[in-house]
Amino acid sequence: MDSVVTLEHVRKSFGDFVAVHEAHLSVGRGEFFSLLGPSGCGKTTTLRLIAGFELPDEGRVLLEGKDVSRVPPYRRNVNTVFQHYALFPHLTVRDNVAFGPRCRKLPRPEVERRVQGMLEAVHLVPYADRKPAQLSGGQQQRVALARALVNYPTALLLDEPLGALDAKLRQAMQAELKRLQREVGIAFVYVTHDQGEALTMSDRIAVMNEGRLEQVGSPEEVYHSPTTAFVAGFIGAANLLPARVVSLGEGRAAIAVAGDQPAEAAAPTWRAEPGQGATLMVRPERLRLAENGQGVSARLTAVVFQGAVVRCSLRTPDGSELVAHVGSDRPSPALETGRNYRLQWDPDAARLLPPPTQGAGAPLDAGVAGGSPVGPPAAASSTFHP
Amino acid sequence: MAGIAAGGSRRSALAPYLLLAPGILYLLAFYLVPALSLARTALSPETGPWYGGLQHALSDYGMHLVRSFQYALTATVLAALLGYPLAYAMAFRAGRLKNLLLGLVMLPFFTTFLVRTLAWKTLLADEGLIVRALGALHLLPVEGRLLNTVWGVLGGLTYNFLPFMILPIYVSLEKIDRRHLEAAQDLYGAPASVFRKVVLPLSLPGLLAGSLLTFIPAAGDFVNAELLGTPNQKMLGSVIYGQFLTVRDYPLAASLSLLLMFFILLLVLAYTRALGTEDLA
Repeated sequence: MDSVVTLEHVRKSFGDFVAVHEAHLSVGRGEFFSLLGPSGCGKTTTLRLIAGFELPDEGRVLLEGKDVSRVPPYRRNVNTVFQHYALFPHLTVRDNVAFGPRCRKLPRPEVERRVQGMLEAVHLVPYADRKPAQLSGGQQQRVALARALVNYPTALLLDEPLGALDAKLRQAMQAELKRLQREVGIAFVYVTHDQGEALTMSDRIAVMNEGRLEQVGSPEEVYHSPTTAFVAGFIGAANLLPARVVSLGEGRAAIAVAGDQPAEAAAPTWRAEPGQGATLMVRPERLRLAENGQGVSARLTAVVFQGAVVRCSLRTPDGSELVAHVGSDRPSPALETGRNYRLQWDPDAARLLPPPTQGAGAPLDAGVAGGSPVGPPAAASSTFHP
Repeated sequence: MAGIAAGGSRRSALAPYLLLAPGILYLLAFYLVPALSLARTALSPETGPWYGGLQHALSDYGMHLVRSFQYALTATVLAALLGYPLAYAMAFRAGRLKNLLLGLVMLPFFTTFLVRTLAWKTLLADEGLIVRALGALHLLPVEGRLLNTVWGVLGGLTYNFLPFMILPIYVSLEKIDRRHLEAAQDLYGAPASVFRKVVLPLSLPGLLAGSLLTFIPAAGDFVNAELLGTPNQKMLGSVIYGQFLTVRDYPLAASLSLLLMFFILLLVLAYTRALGTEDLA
């Protein structure tokens, strides 16, 4: 793979606190790559390791195949869009954008040509002679982008660049960023804690938790086939139930779940033995309610109409809580709280995750994880939970 | 007042004036009134035109005026050259020592100005440690001296006003958002360019404030030249002091004061204009 940014077994700690454990990833040319995780998960440190503001304790950082682990930031051909933009307050928009080319001592006509072109690309020509303090948040954000992209970096590093904008502007800027990224064809490494943002824009997402890379994959992969309970809970809403593997078949696994009730799930991608404990993950929108027949028995405890879907809370006989989203246009069967229903799912929609290891994903052992009910990727783009 | 007429809410419209009032009254009583009285003394000679006193003062003591500005300017430049690196080190490199260093910069204020300058007299004395050390290093000719020379006066002025240079520079450096430095490095700025293109321009307000706080009192100083120099290094401040308190020629002393104020004001305006006052925060 034609990789522009590579981290090889990178580890970084601050005193006793290990900010990044064994980060191992590579970003391809022109790829939109997101580092997603809650605050304090090490995503910003990972970005700073690529930029050169932090030096790895172990491992190597490579840019276009060259080891830059010990190279200072000003000799690395990557540029950063900082969280609060960090525009130079004493310089005009034009001089802010020209800062990089001038530091690299490009000939003056070349500097002017590039700056003008970049200002046009981000629609800032009328504001070229203003100071950053005279611009709105969205305009400042575009200056920050222009100031970084004008250097044609190997990769553009973005640290929660939309975090300071209001929800509406943020959505507009997401589209703008994506358009710009396609136009310039430069790899973006995008740090965010907003799963909706990551799902909408990314080619691939690296989900981080407590300094570890939990999973790296396309938005569809991390949403539909999470490999850990943490990923399942962090991206979208997920029902996570303790389960036991009964037997393994061709692409299927028979399991016992929710008080030893028999059920089926997709065969685990990890090495599992019959009799072993696991965590069952099913998205709320993949659960169906039936009045009788097959399926796991659960009692309906609450029904909330949410517009497109009806949110049903259920409790299994062993006390686990679940959430099912039922389309509000087809209210079959009649939903009555207090009654018992059968929960059914397509075995391919049910994933078996390895049992939680000590330390990682501890709060997500069972029950409903992920606070916000977010639909599949296509729907996620229009839903924000600031 | 305009504030009342403009606002529907009288109380909030009046508030700024009420807050300003004590300060304004104080300045009226203790600054404007004496200044006007000074101007009257200077500008109403017993004979001749109103500017006669000024003319006379300028022709007799113009040399002292020029010297005062030369010394003050030199001391300001020296203080900036000494103070900036120190302030920089305190703001960016001192770590836990920061507060200790800040305390040390302010420590001289615990001793009065006069005593500190008298101490310099001892330090710079002909048989003193500094003269002997410089002599041994052949940095000072045999029989060379520091006390009662221009170097003594400049040294004293620089020393006495150095904290007024350091503190504003320190504050403006401390205020610089460290992310701007990272952004500059990220945009290919080597350490020297980061300093020249980001740190220095962002600390200019502090340098400007420090220069004014050093230059203005240094130009009017009468202690350093008096104690560390000879009549050949006499500054205008000493002349005014002598005319007011010894000779008791009030019109001359008042004229000299007025001239000093006028030229300081002129220089300060030119200076702030050149550097841009909008950033003087």
